[in-house]
Amino acid sequence: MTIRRVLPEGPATGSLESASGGPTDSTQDTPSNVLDLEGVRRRDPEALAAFFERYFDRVYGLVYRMLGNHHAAEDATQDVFLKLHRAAHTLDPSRDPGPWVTTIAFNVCRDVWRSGASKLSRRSTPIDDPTRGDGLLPQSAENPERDVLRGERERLVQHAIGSLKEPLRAVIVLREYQGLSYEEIAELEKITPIAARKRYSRALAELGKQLEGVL
Amino acid sequence: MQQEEQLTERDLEVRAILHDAASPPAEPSFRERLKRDFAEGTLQERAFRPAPARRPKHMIRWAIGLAAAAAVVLAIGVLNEAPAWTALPSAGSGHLIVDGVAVPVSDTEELTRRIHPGARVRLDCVRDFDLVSSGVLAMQLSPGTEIVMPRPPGRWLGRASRASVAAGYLRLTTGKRFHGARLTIDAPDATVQVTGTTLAVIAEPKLTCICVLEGNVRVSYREAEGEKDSKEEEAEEREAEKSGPMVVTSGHRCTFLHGSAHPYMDEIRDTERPKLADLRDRMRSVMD
Repeated sequence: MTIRRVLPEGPATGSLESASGGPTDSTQDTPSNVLDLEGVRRRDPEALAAFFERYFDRVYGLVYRMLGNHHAAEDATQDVFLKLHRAAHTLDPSRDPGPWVTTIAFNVCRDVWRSGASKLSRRSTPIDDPTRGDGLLPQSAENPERDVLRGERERLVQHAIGSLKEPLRAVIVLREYQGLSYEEIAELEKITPIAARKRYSRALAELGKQLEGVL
Repeated sequence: MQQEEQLTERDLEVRAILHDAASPPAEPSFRERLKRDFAEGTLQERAFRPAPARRPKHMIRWAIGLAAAAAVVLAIGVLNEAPAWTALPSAGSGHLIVDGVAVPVSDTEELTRRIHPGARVRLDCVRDFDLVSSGVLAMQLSPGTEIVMPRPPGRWLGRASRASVAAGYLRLTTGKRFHGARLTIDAPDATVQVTGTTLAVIAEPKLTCICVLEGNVRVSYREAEGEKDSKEEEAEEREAEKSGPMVVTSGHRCTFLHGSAHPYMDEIRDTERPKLADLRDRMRSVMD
């Protein structure tokens, strides 16, 4: 029997609406949001490819925000999908795999933070990192000036997030870019929802100071 | 959301900036390669592996706390400990029998090593023998005296101690560090509570005598071990118990005849007074 589950798209970074809540139930059974989770369990290449398309941006966005550069984000994303592949048979087709994916991605980030390589990389900035604002920013032919400004703002935002201590950074990323509730963050971080909320509040305050020039 | 309602205007501005800043996309080539490897199950592990998880901070804090507490307990234990018993040089020849082992009284080093709280000590010598726990207690044993050694009271903890005199003369004087402690001495016919004084406990075959040179001691009748009581004696004891311990004041003695719960009080023995005074004066340098 093949179970097909209607799933929402991952949260699109850049919209407050998407960040205000977690995955929502969708009644639109379009081909783009139907995932063959049984196929994923069987590690069917087509199902895995569709699963990848569904969650890649969500995973990459999370690890990039958490780790602060593309090199680390690529390594971590690869690790996340390796873990997802290995654990595919444990996937419960009756449930939304979103939280499962987020948990694995978050744990990988935490492992990276704990690793010596991460500590080393924090002391240096990769020379080919587009967030350095060295001309590698995404450009569009229509409004290059706007793209440059947006890129500059993105760089400042990422710098501000990266300057937060890891517990605060995690709460901000999970809440603002993954749309998790305080309860879900608390479960991931193994803290109380009240503590998650306090961290979020502190993180916003620190970001406010960091982004003084932008506000 | 109710939680969001509590955000300040500035917080909302910060949130707006966060959401305006879109994450730069991943390299298309990386994305394609990863997708292909994921679908085909040919993904490789990353070059570096995460370090093992650190111990949670609260566990480290607990460990530090426990170590600190253990160190404090150890320090208190060390500082609380009163100086050990030290045998002072004796001019006489003979032995001190410590827990059944005869040690020459001249071998003060060996005696000091062997004498410990709870040790049973008997003086088999023709001269008196002195023992001191510096600043706390000094004791003098006369020839033939047999006692169980007390533990010198600690500075803050373990302030109560106990000794016993089976036979002979035990003279003792207390030092400054004894202040506030309590030493209970069991003699054949009496129990003596010392709280700071110079006194002698004399256990002779037919009587027990407590001579107090300075301060006060509390004395109560003590039934001799293994002794069968007649009804009269039992009644006597009960009466004595009702009346509670007696206080023997400076310059007096209290004598219990063997088997009698009723002591008689008198002036301190003339022969004891100079000996107790001599002990007090000789020990003053190490007790004050």
